[in-house]
Amino acid sequence: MRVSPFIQILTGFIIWSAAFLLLYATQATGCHLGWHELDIGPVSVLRLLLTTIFVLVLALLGGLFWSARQVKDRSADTSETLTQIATTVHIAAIVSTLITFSGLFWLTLC
Amino acid sequence: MMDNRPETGFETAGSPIRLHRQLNAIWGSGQGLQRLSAVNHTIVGIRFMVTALVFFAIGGILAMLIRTQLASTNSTFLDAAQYAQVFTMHGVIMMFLFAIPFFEGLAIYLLPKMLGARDLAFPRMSAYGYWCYLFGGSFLVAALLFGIAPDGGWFMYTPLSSRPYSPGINADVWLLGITFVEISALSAAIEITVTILKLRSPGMSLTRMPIFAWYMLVVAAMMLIGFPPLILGSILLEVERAFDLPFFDPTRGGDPLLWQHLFWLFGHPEVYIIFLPAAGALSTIIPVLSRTRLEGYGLIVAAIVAMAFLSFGLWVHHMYTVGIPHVALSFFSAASALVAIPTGIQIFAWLATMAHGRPQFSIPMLHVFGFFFVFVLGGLTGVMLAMVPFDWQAHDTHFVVAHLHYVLVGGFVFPMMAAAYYWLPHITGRQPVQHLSKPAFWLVFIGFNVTFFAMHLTGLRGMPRRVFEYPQEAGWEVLNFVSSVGGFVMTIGFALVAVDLIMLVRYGRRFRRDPWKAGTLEWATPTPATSYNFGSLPHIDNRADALEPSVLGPDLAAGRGYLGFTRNGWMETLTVDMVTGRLDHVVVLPRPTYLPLWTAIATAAFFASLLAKLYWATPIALLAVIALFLLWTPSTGLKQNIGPLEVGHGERALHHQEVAQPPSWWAVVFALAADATLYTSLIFGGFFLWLSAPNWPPPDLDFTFAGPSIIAGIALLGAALSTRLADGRSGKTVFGLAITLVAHLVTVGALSVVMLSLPAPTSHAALASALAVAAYVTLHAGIGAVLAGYGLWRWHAGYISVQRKLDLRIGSLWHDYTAIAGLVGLAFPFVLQSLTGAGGR
Ligand code: HEM
Ligand SMILES: [Cu+2]
Repeated sequence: MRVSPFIQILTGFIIWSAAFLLLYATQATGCHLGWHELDIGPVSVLRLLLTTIFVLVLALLGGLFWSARQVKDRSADTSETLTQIATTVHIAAIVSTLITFSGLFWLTLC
Repeated sequence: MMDNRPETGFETAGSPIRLHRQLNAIWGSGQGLQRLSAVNHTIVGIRFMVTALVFFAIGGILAMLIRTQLASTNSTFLDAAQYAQVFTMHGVIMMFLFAIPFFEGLAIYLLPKMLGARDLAFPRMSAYGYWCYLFGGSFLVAALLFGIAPDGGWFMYTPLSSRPYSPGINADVWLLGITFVEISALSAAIEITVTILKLRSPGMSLTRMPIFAWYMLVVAAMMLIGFPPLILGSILLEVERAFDLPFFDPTRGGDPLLWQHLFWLFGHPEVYIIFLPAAGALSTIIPVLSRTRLEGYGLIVAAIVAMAFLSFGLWVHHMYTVGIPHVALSFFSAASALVAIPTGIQIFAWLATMAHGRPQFSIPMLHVFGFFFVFVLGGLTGVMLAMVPFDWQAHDTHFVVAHLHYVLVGGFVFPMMAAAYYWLPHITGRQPVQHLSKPAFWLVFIGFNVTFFAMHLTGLRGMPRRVFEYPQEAGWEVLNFVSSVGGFVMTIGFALVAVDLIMLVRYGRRFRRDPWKAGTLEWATPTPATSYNFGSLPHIDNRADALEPSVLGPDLAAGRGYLGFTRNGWMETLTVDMVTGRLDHVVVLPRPTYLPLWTAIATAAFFASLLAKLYWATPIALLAVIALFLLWTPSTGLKQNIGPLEVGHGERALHHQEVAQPPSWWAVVFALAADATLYTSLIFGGFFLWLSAPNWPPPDLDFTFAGPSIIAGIALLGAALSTRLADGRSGKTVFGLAITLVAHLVTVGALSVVMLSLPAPTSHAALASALAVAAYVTLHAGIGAVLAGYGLWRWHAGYISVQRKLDLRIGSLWHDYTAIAGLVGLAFPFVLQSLTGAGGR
């Protein structure tokens, strides 16, 4: 499968951005509708929802990264350098996701 | 007319001088008043830069007024109202009229030369952008002279800038003037994106591009996503002020915070949009002056891509004190701290480059040193401010003012002075005189640090920003006085830099090419550059910062590359495949014309009519703008199929009218991406108000217009589908376009019914948002109708065939976008209505 190098370079952080908006919107909506006051066991519905999104996003990023490693097209020198750049950006996106959103495990939600 | 002579033959010149004469006759821009018709990127780029410097001087004078006022306690130099105008205009001028246009000018001047093209993708667009910038900027400065300049701070927070608290036209001047200037920035962004992606010399793959092109590509993409939220915010606020639709009014379901979100969604990326071009210049200059190659090319590209995204995810760090829940704060705080990492990577790459090379301590290098020192300090205070608890202490004090100047002056002004000393020899063909350069630098450097270091201290001692006086007891006087003295020292320094540069331009020593022994293509043009840049275009088979301009230059001038000849009086340049850099097709650019100037004048009339509240004149001006834009098009068509053209080296390529995705097609794609960002902000704005604005839900909300909505939905789909029939064959094309035209008109009609049946849109933000969304869709359907009509006209004029259906393909992009956006827009009021049942405060 040949993916445009632009897409390779951009996917990681596009997912990060989408996750950002999704988490921020879910958090705000949840607070608005009072989901933080409904508990499921030890955690609130809102925190459970946010954590689930977080884990799914990480899994998605990880999965994409893994599948990108499988299809290596090392035909031309152009795609070689571009693949390298894309891989670096992707790792940066995974690390950023971990760092940016980890607060939702322990901070006040609303 | 060139269109009528589509012969494909060409004439070779024989000698470099003859080639030069022939090309110059085609590409040259005329003298005297004819200069107003110039569209050449060298000329437009220089115009942008010079105009930006004039605005910088004006902004600098305003800064001196600020410092004079603050030098002592209870000073009576300016009163509160004057001070408000002065600091607002200082910020506005520096950000919108100096920094952005200056780097745009640099990019417009340099990019085609660095990429090995003869001009930008859309020369007339850049000329139009320049006039919009000049007129919009002049509006703002003229307002200052008449005492009606904006006075709500450069970020214009509502409700301060809303009608009740700013009844004059000051705020309107900001909103309209800035929107006008932003048009110019957006057109430059599209121009730059397409040029970098397509208009390169054959062989220049993405990874062979000079690093500056990567930086500008990222910057331009950021502008496409970052500016639309501000444009939307400005439109909404202006509509609120002019027609009382309550988007930001908390008593009627609006929310002042919506403005802050829209503003900073633009405002923070803006800071990186200003910094990245400067960093691009540094990444170009440092290796050359260190006699080595840039370390970590790939890593830098990765870093700037990461930076581009991260810088969007931290807008709320300007809003830590507005009362946002802790988790949300943590997202923004973490992103703010993270963005320091890619910045650090670049700094280390530059240091490594210098360490591996043999840096020469020339004047540009001195400014590079200034950059390192000042910018790193600014970065450190930036990380401090990213931390929520510290920011709560320092918020809106002079500490923030100090930080922002360390970053902006360190990250933009010093690199740009380095760039000026580095590239002026290219622009003028002369080398520096260098007597004044050093003292000038040290005055700026010392003056700067004195001025702004002191501001950290006054800030930490609690001095708020934007106050025009402070009491004796506060104990801030000594520090403020020191700061003002520093400010004047710095001004003297800038004046000396100006004198020094003027000396260089007037009296510098003439020389041949490439004084710095650089390896990038711009030095392979003659200096000063000719109107067509290169006598012929190179084939690039190495990284394009490791070339030998001194060898390449004469070769290209002799016509031994691609297109080393003239054909039909056409202004020709080549495009490549975006990724691989394989030769793609020939672009024929438009000749110099006054149309950009006239169109910008009509655009100015449009904004002036809004400002003067002469609303009857607004539609007339709008029609004039549309008509003038349509007049741009005849000169870019072909009336016959001509097939592959000889381009030299035995290769052939098609004319851009005969290919599927020429630059103009990409331009529409990027324009629609920016448009979609604006629209998404609008839709999200509606939901944001539902979520967080006071006074929701609206009293008995009732969107009962299912009938017209369904009709509009069917018509939108019909327009998008029927345009597919138009494939360049006779019969089907006219039929398809006619249906599209009618369908769009039906949409406009149905949506007008919807808009008229909305009860009292001024009563609540929910109704106002529904109106805004409907107006957006109506406007798009209206433009779709114009495009369909345009397609019919182009068909009848003979510009369209099965091989030449670019106009149809562009129209099709528009109709598809309009259909998608329209269906979302039609659903919007119903979704909003069902949500308001689900709660509100
Ligand atoms: C040339 C030397 C400069 C001096 C002496 C200077 C001085 C100042 C001062 C004292 C303020 C604070 C006004 C207040 O809070 O009352 C200020 C604000 C500001 N400055 Fe500068 N400045 C300079 C250059 C620049 C440059 C180069 C830029 C941007 C590229 C810039 C952008 C701003 C902005 C955005 C504000 C905030 C305005 C606001 O609060 O609305 N300044 N400047
Ligand atoms: Cu910021």
